[in-house]
This record gives sequence, structure tokens and C-alpha cells, in this order.
Amino acid sequence: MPILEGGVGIDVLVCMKQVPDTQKVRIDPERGTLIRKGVPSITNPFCESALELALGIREKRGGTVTVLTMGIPDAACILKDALSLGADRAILVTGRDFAGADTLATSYALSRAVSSLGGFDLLLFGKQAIDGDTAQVGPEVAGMLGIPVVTFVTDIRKITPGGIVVERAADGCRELVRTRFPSLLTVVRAEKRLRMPTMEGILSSFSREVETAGLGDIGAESDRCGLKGSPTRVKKIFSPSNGGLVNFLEGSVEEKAIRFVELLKEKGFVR
Amino acid sequence: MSGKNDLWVLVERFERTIRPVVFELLTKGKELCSKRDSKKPGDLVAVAFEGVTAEENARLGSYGARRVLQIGREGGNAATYMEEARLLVSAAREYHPAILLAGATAYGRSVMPLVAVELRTGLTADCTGLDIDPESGVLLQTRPAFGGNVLATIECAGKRPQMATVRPGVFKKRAEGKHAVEARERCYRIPSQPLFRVLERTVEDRGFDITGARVIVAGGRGLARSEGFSLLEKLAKKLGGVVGASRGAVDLGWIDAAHQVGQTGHTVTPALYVACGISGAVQHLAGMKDSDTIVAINEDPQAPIFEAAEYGIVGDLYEVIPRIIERMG
Ligand SMILES: Cc1cc2nc3c(=O)[nH]c(=O)nc-3n(C[C@H](O)[C@H](O)[C@H](O)COP(=O)(O)OP(=O)(O)OC[C@H]3O[C@@H](n4cnc5c(N)ncnc54)[C@H](O)[C@@H]3O)c2cc1C
Ligand SMILES: Nc1ncnc2c1ncn2[C@@H]1O[C@H](COP(=O)(O)O)[C@@H](O)[C@H]1O
Repeated sequence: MPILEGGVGIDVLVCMKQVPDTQKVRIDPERGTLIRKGVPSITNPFCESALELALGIREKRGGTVTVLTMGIPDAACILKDALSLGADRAILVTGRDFAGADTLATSYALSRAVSSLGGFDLLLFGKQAIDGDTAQVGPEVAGMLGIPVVTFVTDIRKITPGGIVVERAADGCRELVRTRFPSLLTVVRAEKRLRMPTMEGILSSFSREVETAGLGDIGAESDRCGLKGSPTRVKKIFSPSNGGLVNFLEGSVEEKAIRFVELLKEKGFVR
Repeated sequence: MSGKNDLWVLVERFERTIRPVVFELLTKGKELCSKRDSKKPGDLVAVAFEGVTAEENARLGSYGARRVLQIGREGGNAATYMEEARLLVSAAREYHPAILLAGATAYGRSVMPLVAVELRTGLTADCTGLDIDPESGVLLQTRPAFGGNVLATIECAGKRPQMATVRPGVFKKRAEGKHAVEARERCYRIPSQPLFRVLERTVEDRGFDITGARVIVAGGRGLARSEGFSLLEKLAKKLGGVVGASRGAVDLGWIDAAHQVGQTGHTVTPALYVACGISGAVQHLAGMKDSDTIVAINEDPQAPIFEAAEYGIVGDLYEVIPRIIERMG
């Protein structure tokens, strides 16, 4: 349970990403490519944890929760969901200039959007997005904005007017870290699941719209965005399967066991 | 240290000792250097922060490092990954390495993005394969994407350094002889970050480490009860190995998360991986598919685990495994 001190509200921004449900992604066995058609889009689970943390802070401490995403127009869905859970404001950064962005270009666009919105005490990011799993965008945005970043945050311990004490779990250690406002946190999947929307929440969210912003609105340079602003390129995509060349050991249970032990001997695992 | 084609490996420590992934990266780095343009092959350099002992220097050398570059902060130590990132940026600006590699540990994945942003270059996270393009000499970085459903090869042709983090346990480490290598120290002036501070640090029990095991016998929900792991433990013991698990089994509380293999668990590459009662979800495969020999035991011949396996046994694990143990004597 976070222990909160002092009086003023905390203004939190949550960066959220829409991702394909990786459990439902299928591979075209012939071409070795990803079949995206019919794969449902979801909110990145780590971003849900970040949103829950943000809503929790506002409940205990007051302040505002703003949600931000960069993506295709359809990504507005995840922002609408966040509004129905009580987010105060939602911004979708979208446009052709942003397409094909790698982590550097994504971080640039998001950091521009954050600067143009201005005035946040805390920026919350998911630890990683389940489609790319890079876990890079959070620290990169912090680097661009020149603010401290605490990675792999599991919980908030204390909020004071000047800063925050968080718990992080990394590489077999637990650490308590104090950092000032503004800071950026990347959040690991929390124990506490994202709350469900209430009828009241859904109804009241109808009065709030998802705002959209383009290149000009966030003051971004077009050649640092999208494919143009991306130093990395995907050279090829292929399927990891080894062709399904399994050798089934045949016979009765007894025979299978015998065959397996022989195999272990052949390969030198038992003498 | 002039060569602008150097390959740097970041030396990461855990509780003062150098992490194994550093030696894995040096071994791979040596191979990559040998594949590059013979006119300017560049050197393999281990870049470290804290005092590298003579013994450590020789160890880094034995895994292929040609030099050890120790970087520090003027008038004090670097206390956080943010400050270490700044030092690394300063060093990279001075020496212009062509490639910078680090482990895809929590530490590497915190430092490297900060460095990449400062240097405005690309960074490929969590690679499972690295190679050099024979024509262009560019670093080819292969990593799983979409939860391990596909592999993508990524390159950063136009910016330097080319940066990547690599999962621990993916590359094999190989030492050759022990010899001391040239050591150099550089200090840089960086602004301090007084408002970011680690207040407290507890090391969790790391009694069990699955990533180094040569043989893993792993169980999933198909075990049906937690006691199933004692059966697997018996088989693992006979094979000189350890027990692993799917998240399905971990989530049911049958076994500790330290044993979990997969996208959100550990990446393992043992010589032998025996998957028992594991369906073979992509998230599980992401963590074990590079094992040398994979054997699957599953009731369901359609289970996707058989697509990743070299050998398959269709049957009830509670019938098959006791007989295997019996036969092994
Ligand atoms: C973001 C994300 C990350 C994830 N990360 C991981 C991860 O790191 N690692 C991981 O493992 N999973 C991970 N998962 C979960 C993964 O999707 C699967 O749910 C999980 O791997 C299934 O576990 P299982 O194979 O043990 O269980 P099941 O899928 O239920 O499979 C049980 C298998 O046992 C077989 N079986 C049943 N009885 C017997 C018997 N008596 N003898 C022989 N066979 C029998 C069945 O035929 C079946 O194939 C992740 C999921 C998500 C969404
Ligand atoms: N397009 C995006 N829009 C908003 N937030 C993003 C976007 N991409 C990444 N993020 C944030 O960065 C985190 C880490 O993503 P990644 O580095 O891609 O694994 C996510 O959990 C989000 O919080």
C-alpha cells in the first residue's frame, strides 16, 4: 500500500500502446509470415498495470490522469477504454509521418507529445510491449526529456511533494529508489489487475473525447519521425519453426521408454 | 585505441562478480570480429566501470578481449545506471566503437536505451542471434518478435555504434588460455543526479539458477498436481540436470518462478530439454527452442510442442517416466 504524504495533487501521464494479442497470432506455414488478419488488438498488459497505478495515485492523492498513445486511428479504442475507467484526458498521436517508427523514432514522437502537453509530475510506461518486447521506449523517452527514469517498478511506496519512493525488481534484487518530480517509471505487471469499468464511469466518459494530434501539434520534425527517423530496419522476418521434423518413438509404453533410454545413451547423457 | 571499427562489450557485474553473459558476449564478439573486413577488423574491447582486478583482466582476455577500457567519473563513483550511461556516452564519443553489446538483463536494458538516445543511434533489444553481413559488414541482429511467433533480423546500417542487447544463456562461452591484456583508464566529468538515489537494496535468494543447466526436465499443467515435480526431479537427478517449468505450472503454485522457462521466464539452451505435459505455447517455446536436443512427452499428438521437438513420446507421463527411470537403473 502506498503511503502518501503532503497535499498537492499529482499529474500523471500514462503512455499506452495498442498491440495484437500475441496469443492469437498465427504464422502462414508456407510463407513464414505473420497472419495479422483477424487478430484482435488489445491494450498492452503492462500498460494496463501502469494505468491502474496512475488511477490509484489519483484516488489517494488527487491530481489528474492523462493517457497518450501513438498509433493508427483504431488505437483510439484503448484510450476510450481508459477514459471509461476514469482517465481525465486522452490524446492520440497519429498520422502518416509516424508510420514505421522504430524505438528511437517512437521515443522522439512521444517525447515531443509529452513536452507539448507539458506539466506532468510523473510519466508511467509499461515495462515492455508484448508485440515488440523491446522495453526500450520508456528509458529512451526519459533520455530525450532529460529526466530520471526508474525501470522495472513493482510498487509505489511513498509520495512526497518533491518526489516519489518506488520499489523495483531487477536481476534478482529488490531496490527502493527515491527520485524527484518529474520522473519516468516503467512498470512491470502488477499484482493488482486493472479495474473494470463501472456503468457510471462509462456514462461520464461520453463527455470526454479522445483528442488527436499530428506532427505540427506536437512540434515534431518530420525527418525524426516514422520510418525516416528510424536508424534500424527490419531486414527479414522468418518463422522460428524447425520444420516440424519430430521423430515419434513408437511401440508400447515399455518400448518407448527403452527407446528413449537408448537415445540418451547414444547422445552421451547416460552411460 | 584508435580503430574506429572496435566492438565493445559492456562488463556488467552482479554483487561485484562479472556476469556470465559478459563472457558469452566476448566469445561471440571474437567470432564477429573475425568475420569483418580484414583491412580494418577492429578490436574486441571489454568496457568496465569498477576496478577490474588483474585476475579479471586475464579472464576477460581469455574470452577474447584485446583490451580492457575502464571508465570512471571524475571525483567519485558512478552510483546509478543513469550515471553509468552518461559515462558510456562520453567514452563512445571519444573512441567511436562500431558495435556496442550488452546483456539483455534488467541492467543492460536500462543503460543501453539511455546511451542509444544520447548517441541518436538504433538499439535492438533482446537478440538471440548476431552475425556480420559478409557484403556490407553490417551487424545482423536477430530477435524474436510477437511473443516468439516470428524471428526478425534487424540492421542499423547508417548509424554508429550499432547497439544490441543479448539474452543471457543464448551464446556459449569459450575461454582460450589466460593472458593479461592492455588496460586503459579514462575519467569523464558528468553532472550528478543527486535526486535519484537507491535507498535500500536486497538481494533475493539466488540459490537456484536454471540458465546454466546442461539438462532440464520441465513440467507443465499436464502434471495435474504439484507432486508430479518430484517425479521429474528424480529423472533430472539421474541425468545430472535440474527441473524447469511452464508458466502454467508456476501460476498454479506447483513450483517456484525461478524454474519458469519462456518469454516471461528464463531463456535456456541446455544440451537436453525434456518437456513433460507442456503444450508448447509460443511463449514457452521462446525460452527453450534453441536447446540442442528437445524431447517432448505429451498425451496429445497434436500438441504444438512436438513441432519444436526432435523426439516425441505420445503417452501419459505418469506411465512413461517411471519406466524410463527404471530402465536407467
Ligand atoms: C504475455 C505472456 C507471457 C507468457 N510467458 C510464458 C512463459 O514465460 N513461459 C510459459 O511456459 N508460458 C508463458 N505464457 C503462458 C502460455 O501462453 C501458456 O499458457 C502456458 O505455457 C501453458 O502451460 P502448459 O503447457 O503447462 O499448460 P497447457 O497448455 O494446459 O498444456 C498441458 C499439456 O499437458 C498435456 N497433458 C495432460 N495430461 C498429461 C499426461 N498425463 N501426460 C502427458 N501429457 C499430458 C496436454 O495434452 C497439454 O498439451 C505466457 C503467456 C502470456 C500471455
Ligand atoms: N506507440 C506507442 N504509444 C504510446 N506508448 C508507447 C508506444 N510504444 C511504446 N510505448 C510505451 O513504451 C512501453 C515499452 O514499449 P516497448 O519499448 O515497445 O517494449 C509501453 O509499455 C508503452 O508504455
